[in-house]
Amino acid sequence: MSQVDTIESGRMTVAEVLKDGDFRELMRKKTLVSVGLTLATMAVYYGFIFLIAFDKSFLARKVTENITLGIPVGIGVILLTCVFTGIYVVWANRNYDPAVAAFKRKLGAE
Amino acid sequence: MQTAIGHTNPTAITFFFLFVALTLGITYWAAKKTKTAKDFYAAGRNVTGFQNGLALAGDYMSAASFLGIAGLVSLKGYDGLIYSVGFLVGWPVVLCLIAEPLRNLGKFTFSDVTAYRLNPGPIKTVASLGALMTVLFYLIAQMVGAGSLVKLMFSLPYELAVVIVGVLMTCYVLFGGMLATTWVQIIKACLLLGGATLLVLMVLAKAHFNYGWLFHEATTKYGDGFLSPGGLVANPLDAVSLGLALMFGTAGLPHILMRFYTVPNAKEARKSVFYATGFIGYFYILTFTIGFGAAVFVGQDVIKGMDKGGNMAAPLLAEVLGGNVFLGFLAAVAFATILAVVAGLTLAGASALSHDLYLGVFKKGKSAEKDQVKMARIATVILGIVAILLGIVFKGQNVAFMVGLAFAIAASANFPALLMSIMWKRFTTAGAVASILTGLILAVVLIILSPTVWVDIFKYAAPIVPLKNPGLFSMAGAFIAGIGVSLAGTEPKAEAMFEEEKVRSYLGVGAE
Repeated sequence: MSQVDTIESGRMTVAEVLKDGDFRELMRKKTLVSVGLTLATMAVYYGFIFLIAFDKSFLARKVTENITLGIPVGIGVILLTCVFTGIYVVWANRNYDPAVAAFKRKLGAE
Repeated sequence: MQTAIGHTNPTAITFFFLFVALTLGITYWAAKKTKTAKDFYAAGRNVTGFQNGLALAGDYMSAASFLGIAGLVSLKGYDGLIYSVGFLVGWPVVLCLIAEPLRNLGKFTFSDVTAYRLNPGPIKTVASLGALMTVLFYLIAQMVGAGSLVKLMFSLPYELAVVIVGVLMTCYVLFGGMLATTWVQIIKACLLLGGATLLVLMVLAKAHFNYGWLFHEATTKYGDGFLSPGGLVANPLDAVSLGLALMFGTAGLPHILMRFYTVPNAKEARKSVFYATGFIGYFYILTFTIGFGAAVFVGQDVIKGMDKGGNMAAPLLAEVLGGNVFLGFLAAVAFATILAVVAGLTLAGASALSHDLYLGVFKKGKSAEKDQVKMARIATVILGIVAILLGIVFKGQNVAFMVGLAFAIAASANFPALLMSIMWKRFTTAGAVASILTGLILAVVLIILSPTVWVDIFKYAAPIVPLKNPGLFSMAGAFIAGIGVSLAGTEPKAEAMFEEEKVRSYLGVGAE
């Protein structure tokens, strides 16, 4: 609470922050990335489930003599899940945090 | 095959006592540092992102997923992989939608955030109910599993095993609070990942470091179907419903969400999910390999002979490849795993009782620091006793569905209200109460009428609701109730506070 008061006693009120173009851009980008990655995860997972539900033979195809396509696809879903969290973290660390820091400087809250 | 499982194993007992001695030592150290409510619930917010990542993985990788999924793979092959994937895909949701706002807006529990700009009395009452139900169903499944596992592995009486587990977990939480619980999780995660890695290396060494050879042996023994989808996704609607419960349930598990308050800021919270996802993903690849190893080197007949559900696949494999000593080590790791998970659940349940219900509702958020810690400790003892009693009451019952139910409640009662409170300006107190209660009631009622309980447990001929997991309908119901009731009224104060909430949520200013 105290730091929110600092903002209000600083150069902008909460209402002004919300109208500020930089803040709106910040929110827009974050929503885009987080909702986008959530939807991407859902697409990958449900894609996998629907593939199993509607065409079992597809994943039963052999890619080598001993390995069915299902194995790399299943492991791929696991790896993609990890990659998606990695993308978010790298994006947030490289883009979001500096943008927040810059905005806070503009507010004079730091 | 002659097995030492079920006989007194000196290695297992030695490792187990070492683990207990080490964790009680840590609890003693943590107890001296646990003075305030912030210490008790959130380990003073001094846990690093990496440590919290390990602890999150420790909270999530239960003995059920280690023994159960390895067993499922050994008996059903590829279907075991499909099942385990469902438990991982919730983590990006936790990361992208929940972790940072939760850390920036709340104090100790997820219902702090649900109630942030709404009327805390009614919200905290129903939200703590959702949290408690999730924790209790999860806890019953873990306690019953613990009793059976210990009985099977150490030939201790079931009740004694439940009491040992219950007393130890209560000690960790009661004296050492979140700090001790965190370190128990970290040690357990390292032991489990290390033990499983070692077992996989042994499998690969015997398989000439060639997965192709392992798969070839498995299909020679059990047919080509072992490497392709079987009966797990028979009904697409069922699969979608289970998938929703697993995916969004992870983002509504109280003991997982509580961990985000142990790190200093949102950045560390974010990092911790990345590490946790990596550890858990790696763990599922290990269990998949262990399952195939067990199918090839132990054989399904032996595995089924020991336990119909396949739960002994990994211990049997350890015995075949590493002898009595390695079996003992792995048995102790499984026990440590159970202890850590139930400790995390107990702490989450206790915080719902003391922080949400007692402090938030009865004391209207105002209580002396000392009083808060005292209440948290009383709640821990209550939870510990309830867990032991439930573990004994449910002895011999089929409780496997309870983990699915816990996820369904988390996805339906906890997650929708939390998400709407963070994201939707027009969300009202009445809407949140309606959403939580609808999600909770639908999840419980639908699972009772489903094949999982109505047919498998009550033995009726046909289910009233065809879906095995209620997730699809209970989650949809929770969102519809929340949106409908919110739109039917207005709450100007909540709308006004949404602006401040946004600033805090996105910029992290004013975070505890």
